[in-house]
Amino acid sequence: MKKTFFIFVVFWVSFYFRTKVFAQTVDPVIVAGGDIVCNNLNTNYSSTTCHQKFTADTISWINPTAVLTLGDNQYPDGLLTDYYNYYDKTWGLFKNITYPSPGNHDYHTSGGSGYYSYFGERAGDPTKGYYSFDIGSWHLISLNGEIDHSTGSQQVAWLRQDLAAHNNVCTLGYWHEPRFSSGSLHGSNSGVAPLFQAMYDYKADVVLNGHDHLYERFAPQNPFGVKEESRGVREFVVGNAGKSLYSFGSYLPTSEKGYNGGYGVLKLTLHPTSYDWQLIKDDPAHTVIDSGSGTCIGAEQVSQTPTPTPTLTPTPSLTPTPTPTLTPTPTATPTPTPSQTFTPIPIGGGDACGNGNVNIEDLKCVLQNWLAKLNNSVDQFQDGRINALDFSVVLKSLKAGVTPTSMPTPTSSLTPTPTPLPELTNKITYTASSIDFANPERGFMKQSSVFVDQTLDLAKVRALQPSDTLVWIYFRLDNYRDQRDDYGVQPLTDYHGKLLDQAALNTIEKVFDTARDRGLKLVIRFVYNPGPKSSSDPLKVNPDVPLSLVLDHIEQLKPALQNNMDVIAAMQAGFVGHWGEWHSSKYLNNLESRKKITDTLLTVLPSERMILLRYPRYEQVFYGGPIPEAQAFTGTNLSRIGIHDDAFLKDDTDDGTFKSNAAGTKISTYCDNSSVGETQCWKNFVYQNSRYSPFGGEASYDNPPRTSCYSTDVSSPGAIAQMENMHWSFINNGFNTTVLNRWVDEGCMPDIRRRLGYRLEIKEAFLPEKLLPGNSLSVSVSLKNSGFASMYNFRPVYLVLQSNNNRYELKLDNIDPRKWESGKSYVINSSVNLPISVVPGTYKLALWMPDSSDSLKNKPAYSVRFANFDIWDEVLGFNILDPDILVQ
Amino acid sequence: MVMNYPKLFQNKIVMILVLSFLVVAAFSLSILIRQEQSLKSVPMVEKKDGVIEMKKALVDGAPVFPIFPDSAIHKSYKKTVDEKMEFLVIYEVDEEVPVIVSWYNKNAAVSGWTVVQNSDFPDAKDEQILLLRNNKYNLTLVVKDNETDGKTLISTEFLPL
Repeated sequence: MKKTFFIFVVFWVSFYFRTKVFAQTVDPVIVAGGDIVCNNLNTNYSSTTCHQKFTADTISWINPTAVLTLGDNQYPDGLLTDYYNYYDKTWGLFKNITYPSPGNHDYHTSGGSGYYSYFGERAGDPTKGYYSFDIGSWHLISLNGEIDHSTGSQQVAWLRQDLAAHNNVCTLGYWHEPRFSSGSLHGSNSGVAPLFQAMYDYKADVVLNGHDHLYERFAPQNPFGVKEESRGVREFVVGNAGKSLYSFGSYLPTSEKGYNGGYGVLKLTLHPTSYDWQLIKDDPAHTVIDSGSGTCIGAEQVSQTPTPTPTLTPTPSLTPTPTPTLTPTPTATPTPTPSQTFTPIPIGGGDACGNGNVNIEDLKCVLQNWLAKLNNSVDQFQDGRINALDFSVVLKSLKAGVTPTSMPTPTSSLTPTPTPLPELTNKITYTASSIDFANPERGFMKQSSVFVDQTLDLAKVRALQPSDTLVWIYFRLDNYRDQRDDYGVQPLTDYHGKLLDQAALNTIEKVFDTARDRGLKLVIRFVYNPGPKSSSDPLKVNPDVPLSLVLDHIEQLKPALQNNMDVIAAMQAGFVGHWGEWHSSKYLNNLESRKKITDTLLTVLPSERMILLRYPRYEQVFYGGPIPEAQAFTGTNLSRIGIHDDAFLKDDTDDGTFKSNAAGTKISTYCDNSSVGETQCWKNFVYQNSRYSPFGGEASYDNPPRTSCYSTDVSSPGAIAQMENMHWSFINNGFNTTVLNRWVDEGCMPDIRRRLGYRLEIKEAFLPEKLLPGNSLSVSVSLKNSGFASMYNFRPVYLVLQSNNNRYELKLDNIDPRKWESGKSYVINSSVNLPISVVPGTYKLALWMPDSSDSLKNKPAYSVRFANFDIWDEVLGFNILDPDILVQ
Repeated sequence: MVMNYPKLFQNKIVMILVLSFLVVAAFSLSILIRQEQSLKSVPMVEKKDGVIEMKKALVDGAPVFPIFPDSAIHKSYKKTVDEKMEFLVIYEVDEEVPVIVSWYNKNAAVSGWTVVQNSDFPDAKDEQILLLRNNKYNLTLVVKDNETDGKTLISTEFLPL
């Protein structure tokens, strides 16, 4: 007993000395902030602006190795006198460890003369203003967004050379204006894309910016604003370092944290292969607003290499102390979960704590790491940071001898209230969710070309983002067409009769199998000629194949199309002309050929799936559309025709999509006498047709305000309005990136991501409080479709009773969710008989909308998720209406 | 009177160690509690993607607030944050920052708004911020010289009380 007590005491004392006195690791700490100093000496903390003194005090408290300024260092004009009168008295205290970058206000003086005069050699060559240096094992690059930074600029060339020449595991770049920002006053800036692109190309880890007067942290992302957790660049906007604070507009999809509730600086601890960040407020308590850790992209290659010696010593006055080798001996034994083992953490290296400074964060960090080993779910609030609230939860749970779970209980958002209905006594209201999540057969899709006669690269069958579920596959038949175009492979002499070989058919099957394995569905198209590199020689121009060979190929494809119907979301007619887009064809220009191809596809493809034509005029002239409500989903040829638009917003007609003629020839007279004009008439055709069939495609060239998110121009109301009108279900996320970036920059991309296709939200439900075997189970569920479109492929709707041991699937007849149209609300009133054999007990009551095919029915990735908080069970793929219903 | 402490505690070294442990433990606990309280009290604006509507016109339901003469709406937002409706309206106008701020100081009260905190630097030409309030909203008014086009931006963010 005495010995144990001694060990206990020695542990705590050594623990204290380690964390409070000798806490020394050699990993350097840097501080960054932008938009900093006003031209006054404000000392009033309650002032809404000009907090430079207080952020400087915060830096003093952090005691960093280096300070990075992110531009707009001295307001309003970067005058040298202001630098000396104001900057020098606050942030100037750290001038000898400052690595500045300039902002637009610093360049109000000619050539940034005040900025360069004040910082001298620290700002690099005054004719350039960009430079790089190493801190610890990291390579840091200060860039100048106030001079030419275009793709072909001297600065970008230098940046790429510098990145190529430095193979540090971790790299950080910084400049003033952010590529991505959710700020309302400035927002994203595509002008700095060449800088971000270079950082991404060379696998840099972190980018720091200012300009928007707020703090925002992004997930690692690529230059197009798409999240790439293991490969992307993590951007921080730290524009809240003193001057003023701005509001947020729409949060970008990759934004992980936003804060404009006060001023602060970003503290980064640069470990050899990783980094920790903290946004520290400028208040006296040095409140940590945001914190977390990231791993450098190149870390995997060097995880076993020794720590490089830092080139800068963090705190020269303190001597690093060898790490104590004591192991803590817990005084109380927590109860681990069966899958967890308790491993005491040595107090010392490897815990990512400590920064060369003595502060409470070290103590907290060590304790958190220790507790994290006890339980992997410390971050109770799942907000990306482990804070005192999480900490207290863990402490409480340890005290209570229970293991905290990271899963919120569904009951938290379910609010049962009394109801006057006699049978359904339990009224539950549900909270809508605005997050972007995956759902089958809708959303952004990656476009991939699969050459059927070549080895399949499985990476082509993948989604780019977790919320994407569709892949747009062009099955390329280049080597089966007429090759006399002087391009592509060598001319073939037997092209007219060249059928698909078995290897090609196997490749096609492999694509479908891969999609099925990965929880994806496909929008497919077959393409002979990728255009537009066609010869001007009439014998060689626009090569595809004669009709007879198209039909032979379709017949060959029939088994693959029928066997894999489950993972085909929709099929585009394809085959004809450039990119299979029904223009520029050598052999297939006449209407009869095109109709024959469409008719054949409708025969070959299972009747549960639809064919998309490129132009509505062909649908109208072939089958008499648009689809009337009475004919929707009836299986007739017309009811199975949708449209794809591959020139979205290019011009008023979407590059001829909404025209009656093709290459000067009248195809349809449907709109000839329309009172609204030809173009609007065809748009109206699509508005109606797409209520009952899929509509999708890709954006064309940027053409604002037509391509803008919103427009006040009645004739071109912007992307959102057109997507609503035409009921867009899916769109290419790779083209046209200028338009896609515009939607990111203008802030509507989150809305588009959420609303493509269907988005179903349960409003409320009336449910029974308890059930009796053999009796009926009646429910009334109110829902709304807030997506751009409705579903286009049928799927069944079930009620599921699920307990730990039993599951009962009760299909609701006469419900067709394809008829839940965009923007409308519906009520499911259903009653089903509960089997007499139901085992009494407590069950979850769930709404389940699986895929209609047996092969996918039990795969959660193919089930429909509703847009509500806390009802989705991702393991079972259903939506929990009531987590706790009693069967007596 | 002699207290009968356990033998172990009659050792002075042990007593010192125990006392030092207690001091450290108390100190650590107090700081953690303080931090927790501090975290709770921070007026954090977390990332919550609650934008319901964004327009280049005025969104429906935006609070009534004086509009500086000849201002044009740059864009406006309607958001839900913590189940409350927030509004952000940004105007642009050809006028200098101090003139606009002075105008709002005179005209805000007419529509039932009270200036809670005036600009600390009323002569600043690049940017000024006012805090206002009525019986429903706190309003942050940012008036900023937008150097890219020479216009002045007026940002009005309405947060429900």
